[in-house]
Amino acid sequence: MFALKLLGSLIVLSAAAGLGLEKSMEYRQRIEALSELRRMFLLLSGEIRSSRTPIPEAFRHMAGRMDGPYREFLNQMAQKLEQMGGESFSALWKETLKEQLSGGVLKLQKEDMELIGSFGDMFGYLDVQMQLSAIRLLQEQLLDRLGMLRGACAGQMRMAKLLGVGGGIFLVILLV
Amino acid sequence: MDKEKEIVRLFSGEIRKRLMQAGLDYDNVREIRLRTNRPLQIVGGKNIYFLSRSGRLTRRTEQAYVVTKEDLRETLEFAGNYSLYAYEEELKEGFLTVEGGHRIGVAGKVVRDGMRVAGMRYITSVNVRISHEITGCARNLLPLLMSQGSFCHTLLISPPGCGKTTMLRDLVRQLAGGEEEAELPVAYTVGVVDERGEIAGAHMGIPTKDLGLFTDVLDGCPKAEGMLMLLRSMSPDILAVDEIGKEEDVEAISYASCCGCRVIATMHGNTLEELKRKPFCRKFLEEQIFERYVFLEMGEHPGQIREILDGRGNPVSILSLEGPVKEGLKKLEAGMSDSPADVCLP
Repeated sequence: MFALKLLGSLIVLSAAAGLGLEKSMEYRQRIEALSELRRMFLLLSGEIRSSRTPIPEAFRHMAGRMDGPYREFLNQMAQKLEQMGGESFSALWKETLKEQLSGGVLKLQKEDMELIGSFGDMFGYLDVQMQLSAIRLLQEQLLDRLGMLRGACAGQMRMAKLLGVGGGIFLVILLV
Repeated sequence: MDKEKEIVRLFSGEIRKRLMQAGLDYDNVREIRLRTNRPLQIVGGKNIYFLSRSGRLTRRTEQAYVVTKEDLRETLEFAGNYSLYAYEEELKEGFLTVEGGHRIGVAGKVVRDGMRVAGMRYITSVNVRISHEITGCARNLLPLLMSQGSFCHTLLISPPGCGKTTMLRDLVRQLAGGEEEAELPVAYTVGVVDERGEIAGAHMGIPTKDLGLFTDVLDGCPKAEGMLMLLRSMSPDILAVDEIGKEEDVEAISYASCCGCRVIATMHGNTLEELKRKPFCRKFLEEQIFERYVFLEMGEHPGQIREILDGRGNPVSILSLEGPVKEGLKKLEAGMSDSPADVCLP
């Protein structure tokens, strides 16, 4: 009987700790995703600055240097832009973001998606410098968000783990 | 890509819809002109029409579709392939060239940096000049540009829109081994400096127009620099350039001719007397660099040859301009008449 209770307690504790860990992992994944997206915009800015590459071609080049959902997102964007089906860049950008990078794929929050989505409205300047400035602004906003997340994250990750374990212990006491 | 699709996709959604309804024959359309708050204009040969709100051609302004600011913004977005920044340098010159070699001229508020044009904003006019490839239009002209078995340095001259580039393109094609039944003793290696992208219509560096088998293209390169680059690296027999207009262009042509390379070029003008009044023409006129001056005019259709002069300004005998030349040139305005229905697809 005691062994059963002990086993049950261990399971509850593990589950609670696991929940806490999962929460802290989500923070980490969100930070990684935002960092990758920031790198994506850095690549874009390089394509524009060095070669004034048209955007569909730039996206194809960038896709070759990124992995997973980012690569797919860039390839999809390039394809839609090349078709020139009549939609604006902004509409295509937001539509493809929703299709490829939302829905928990990268653990991005709604405000992250809105920030990345806003790039669609910043695109289309007539001159290179203005276009690069718009990309730079977005990168700074991403950097601010990353800084905030990293600062809060360490504490929140500890909290998540502690709450996970603490909650588990509480449940064990309650049930046993 | 289908020519209609190639042209129509450049425009905003509202205009695109109406152009599709109109079902135009784009081989006969010379320009499509957009001006903010003005009727959408379609030009073919000497005829001018408006596009109506219901997607038909009309001569009545009250029926015409009026272009909006949003139409222009969207059109530029599509024409610039969503990347107008990539055309920043071209826009300073007042135009950009898109896939297929079509030139899109823009006008609006110029941004200056001292006396230099730094850019443009508030673009309020767009002129889409459709590029036409007429294979064989220079077939009967080429023999008149040969002397003692070799190609003469040639200058094609006309006012804007008279078919200089179309003629130049076909000459390049034939010279570079693109004509199976050519009577030329040998096919030449031709280097093309395509500063505005209209000769080759290159897309991602690959020509979309037929320039023959032995042609090398420098796309988007300034003419003078481009000619020297090709001379150094690609060993051309013939250099082809479009719209010369500066002393440095003439200097490069002179240098090329001294290197044993033949040159074929085009420039804006109307008569030899007019050329004599232009300072940058003095060098090639005095040194008789060009051995053939071919004057083109609009006439019944663009690309009509008015006269051909030799290097001293004397007429070259025109044996016959019947056959493929006239047939090819007539295609530029086939079906165009006072009746709008003639420009539509059957």
